[in-house]
Amino acid sequence: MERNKKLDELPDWMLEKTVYEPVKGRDGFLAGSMLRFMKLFRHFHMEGDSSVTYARAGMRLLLCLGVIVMLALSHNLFYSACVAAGFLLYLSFQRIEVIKRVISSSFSASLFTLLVMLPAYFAYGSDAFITITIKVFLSVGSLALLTGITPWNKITASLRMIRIPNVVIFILDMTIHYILLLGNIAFEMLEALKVRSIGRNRNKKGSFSGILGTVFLKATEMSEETRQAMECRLFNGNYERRKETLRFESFIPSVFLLIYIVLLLYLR
Amino acid sequence: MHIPENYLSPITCGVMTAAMAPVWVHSVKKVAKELPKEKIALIGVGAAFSFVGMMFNVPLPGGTTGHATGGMLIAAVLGPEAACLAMSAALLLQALLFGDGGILSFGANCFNMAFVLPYFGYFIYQLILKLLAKKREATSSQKVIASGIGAYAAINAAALCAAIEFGVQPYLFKDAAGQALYCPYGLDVAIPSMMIGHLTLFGIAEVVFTTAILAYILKTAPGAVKNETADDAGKKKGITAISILLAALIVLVPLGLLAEGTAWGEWGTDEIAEIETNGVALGYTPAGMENGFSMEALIPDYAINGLPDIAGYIVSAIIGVAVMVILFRLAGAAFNGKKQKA
Repeated sequence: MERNKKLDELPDWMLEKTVYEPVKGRDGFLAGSMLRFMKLFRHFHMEGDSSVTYARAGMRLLLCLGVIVMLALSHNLFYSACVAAGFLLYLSFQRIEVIKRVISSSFSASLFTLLVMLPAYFAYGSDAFITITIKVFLSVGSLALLTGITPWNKITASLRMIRIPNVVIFILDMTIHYILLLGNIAFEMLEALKVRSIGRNRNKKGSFSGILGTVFLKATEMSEETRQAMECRLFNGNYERRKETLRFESFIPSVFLLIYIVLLLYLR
Repeated sequence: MHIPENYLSPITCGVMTAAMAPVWVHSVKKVAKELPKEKIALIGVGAAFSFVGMMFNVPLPGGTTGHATGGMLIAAVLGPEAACLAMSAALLLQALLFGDGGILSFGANCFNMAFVLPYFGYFIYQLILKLLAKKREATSSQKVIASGIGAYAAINAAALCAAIEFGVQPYLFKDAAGQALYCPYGLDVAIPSMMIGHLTLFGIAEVVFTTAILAYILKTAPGAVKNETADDAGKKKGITAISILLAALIVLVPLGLLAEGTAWGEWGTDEIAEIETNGVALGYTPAGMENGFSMEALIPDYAINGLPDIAGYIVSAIIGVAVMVILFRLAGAAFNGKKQKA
């Protein structure tokens, strides 16, 4: 009886039903950064066709660079149209993920160019907004197509074939691997922070330095571990040149490169 | 600040890449000499770090966010040579992965962001450290202040270089009709439009990025930051050599471009005349507008080469068919995606 009485005497504030609705937090910084990481991972996780030979990957790279250089050299819109025809036709046969990625990156790049170049038309009557926009679309598009359909390791291996120094290839290879590793660490920390922080607080923005600082320290630690692992496996950063049997299909990209070179010279 | 493809002429890109070559060689040699084994792995990881850092939205005062390059931070922690190589690798991957910056303009982008930014930033950083510390060992807060000022100066120096590269294009590269072939904006437009953004938003983003992370690293793991006191004498010599190289390159590269321009077509006087006429022509743009939209003006060689009309039709037919196929496939994928969700 005594006990019940005591229970009845609970203070009013305890008996009130708690209604807790956190103030809507501003996590633009967190969400924005996380979104960019997601996009980054998607770029990396999209596997190219692994059956591509090393020679063909190298030829593709050569074709891509050649087209970009020739587009810049040519002042003829008809030439750009010819490149566009080949590029779009090839693109239309690709997997839908590749098409999406190529179109989204080249479209946003050319839209930006159009916006930057348009005032020049009104100011000086310059045609740059047509020519440069088209060229940017094709250049960015062909690079995106190359990386979309060719696996990364084949592209770096093909760089070795055109006698790029070992150090450069090693750095590039390391970078590609560690972007994913470090990106994952950063992403996990952002996610943990997002899950734990409720409502509006100042710590969210302050955590930015902590996250990237930790990522940096992890990076130095990992590079030391990599060095040790390399030493253990007797790898000094030198890549052997791969030998593979030559196949006709490896040279298809070079045929297109030749056609575009002839066309450029003809249209001059 | 990433210069895209076709904004700069191929000649400019060639000159900038040539200017960058000795810097790359110097950086590789210096890094290989100073810290042979672990440094190379560290550069790859440093490049990955700067790439990941560029992904972050840096929170700025006033609730907005911006992006930073991180070049000054890596220069302060690992030295400018390592920063140069790391930034170059990050820029190459950005061009390949996201179309941020072109492949042709890679040399120019590296000149601005992998050479001017880390080297100039590091020079300012060292200068201020020397002024603040006065022969004593610099404290953490002094390092943070010096890196902040260095970052602000460096990003603006890099932006100014980019603006000059853009700005010289219309004076040097024109077609027969006097129209700019590449970036059509002169120095009078390019410099203010580049600098306003970098003196304010991007400059502050770089300062916040550099100081916040450096302060964190100095607090948690001070050993990770490159120690300047150990090889002070060697550094001093290095810095003067670098500052002379930097000054020479900054002056010589635009001059080299101008020299290239006059040799190109020897239309030095015509050029000025045309610029003047363009200036006057601003009053009656309609005439320019009429010419602007005629497609024949864009394809001057079309008739001269005597290409049969059918070539044009075939090319446009291929483009049309390919665009239709791509659009239908994209639409089909979007429709299927919705269906699956439902």
